Amino acid sequence: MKPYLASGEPSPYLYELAADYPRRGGKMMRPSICIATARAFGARSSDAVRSAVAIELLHNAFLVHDDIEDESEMRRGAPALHSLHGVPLALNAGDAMLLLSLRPLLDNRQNLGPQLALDVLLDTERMARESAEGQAMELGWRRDNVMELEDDDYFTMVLKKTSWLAVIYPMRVGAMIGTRGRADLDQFIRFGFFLGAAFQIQDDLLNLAADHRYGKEALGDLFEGKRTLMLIHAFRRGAPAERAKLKIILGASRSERRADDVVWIRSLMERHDSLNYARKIGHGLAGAALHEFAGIFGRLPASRDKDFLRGLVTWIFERT
Amino acid sequence: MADNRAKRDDLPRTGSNRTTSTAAPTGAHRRVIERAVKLAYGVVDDHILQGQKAAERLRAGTYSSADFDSDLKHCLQRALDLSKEFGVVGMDFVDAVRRLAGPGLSGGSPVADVALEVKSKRRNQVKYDIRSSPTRFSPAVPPLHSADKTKEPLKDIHFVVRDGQRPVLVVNIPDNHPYGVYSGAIVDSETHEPAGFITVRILEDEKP
Repeated sequence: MKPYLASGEPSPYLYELAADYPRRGGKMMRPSICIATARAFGARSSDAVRSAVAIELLHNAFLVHDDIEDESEMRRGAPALHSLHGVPLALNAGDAMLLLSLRPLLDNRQNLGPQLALDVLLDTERMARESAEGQAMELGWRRDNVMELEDDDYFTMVLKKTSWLAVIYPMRVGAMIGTRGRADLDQFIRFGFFLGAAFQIQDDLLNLAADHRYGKEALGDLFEGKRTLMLIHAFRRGAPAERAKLKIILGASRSERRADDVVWIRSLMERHDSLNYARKIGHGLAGAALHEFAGIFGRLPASRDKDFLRGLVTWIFERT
Repeated sequence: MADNRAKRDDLPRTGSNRTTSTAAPTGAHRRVIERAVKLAYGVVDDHILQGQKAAERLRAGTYSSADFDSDLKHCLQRALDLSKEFGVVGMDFVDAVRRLAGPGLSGGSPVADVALEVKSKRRNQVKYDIRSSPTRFSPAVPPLHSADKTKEPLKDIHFVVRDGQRPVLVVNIPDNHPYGVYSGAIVDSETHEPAGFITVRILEDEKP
């Protein structure tokens, strides 16, 4: 990724900021999915590496924007970029990373040829649109303090906001490269959605029990008023007085929300068994992901890459 | 850069902490999962359908089938323009290659057996290259153009195809038509596909 993280002036105001999140590490789940899928379908790693770099750059760019939009304070165990440098410089660095991610996608022409490189670029445009729509849904719910949500609203939001960038897009790109554009791409939407949604539910559960290893602030999602499956369930199951109180707390701005408010929301979730409810659904979706996995990859020969992709389904529940 | 990456401590345990998956699900537990998975399939299948419709709309926006006819005409016109511009050179090139290769060169399929009938008082040479017998399609010859745009095209060139008889290519050259080289495509009048080339060379009259 380093060659694509540009350097030079104005380094302290731009390129050092752009390289900050990638330097902090991270799971590298998305680029790994892209490369493993390409290899499982018979491609070489070198055919997928540029796309993988672009995916990780795009992910980091979105993180910068998400942290600003969500008013998050921590990222990967350190202060969020806008907390360190202010919103204007962080926003600009995020924009630059988005543009820097185009270069490896354009360089794909060298080894994939113009048509396949264009197909990857078109899918990038779709992923960006889906992700923006998902983020808009959630931000809109928070701005308008929408609480009357059903599980399928949550699934739709997660499908767009999380699953596309986390799993669907990296897999589709890997499959395009591995099959030289001959794969049926719709099948990856199902598998990617189930895996991405299970991943997101588990991530949201971890946030409610976060310790320092998680890398984000404890109960940060409640401070941010994120519409998680647990929050939607707790509101749905709450008594009228509880629902009214929850609406008032979430209607306040983040700076007005107190620590005892979020502790109360956490206890409301416990009271209505919302965490167990979400955990069950997460496991159910993981089962559906395994079912879809067999349909896509069942016919391919056994390989480490195939094992890795299947292992993602159980790995999401082993994270801390 | 990898050396600078933050690393988490190794986990003390060696297996997963999952507990719920090892126990047999209760009825309520199962109903929650079944309902959620059914709901999730509904969401994702609807999403796929929307994606397919969006792709169809995008394709329609990029290329509408309503444009096909006009595009085809445009392509044909362009092919004819190109044949006008390069036809002479092309035919000369083909002739040169044939001369170099000798009489054995036929390019696989033989040149169709066609009789030629030239109606003209002018000195002329007619060359044509048609790969499929005109009895198998409806041959037509659009006007043949000269590279010199001031010269009128040759318009009266056609095929006469009668059952059981050898097809005849009829070339009419008006008496006062200016000398020069006129070339163009022989096409299938039904599909508009090119089926060959023809060049008519009108020579200058010999000085008395």
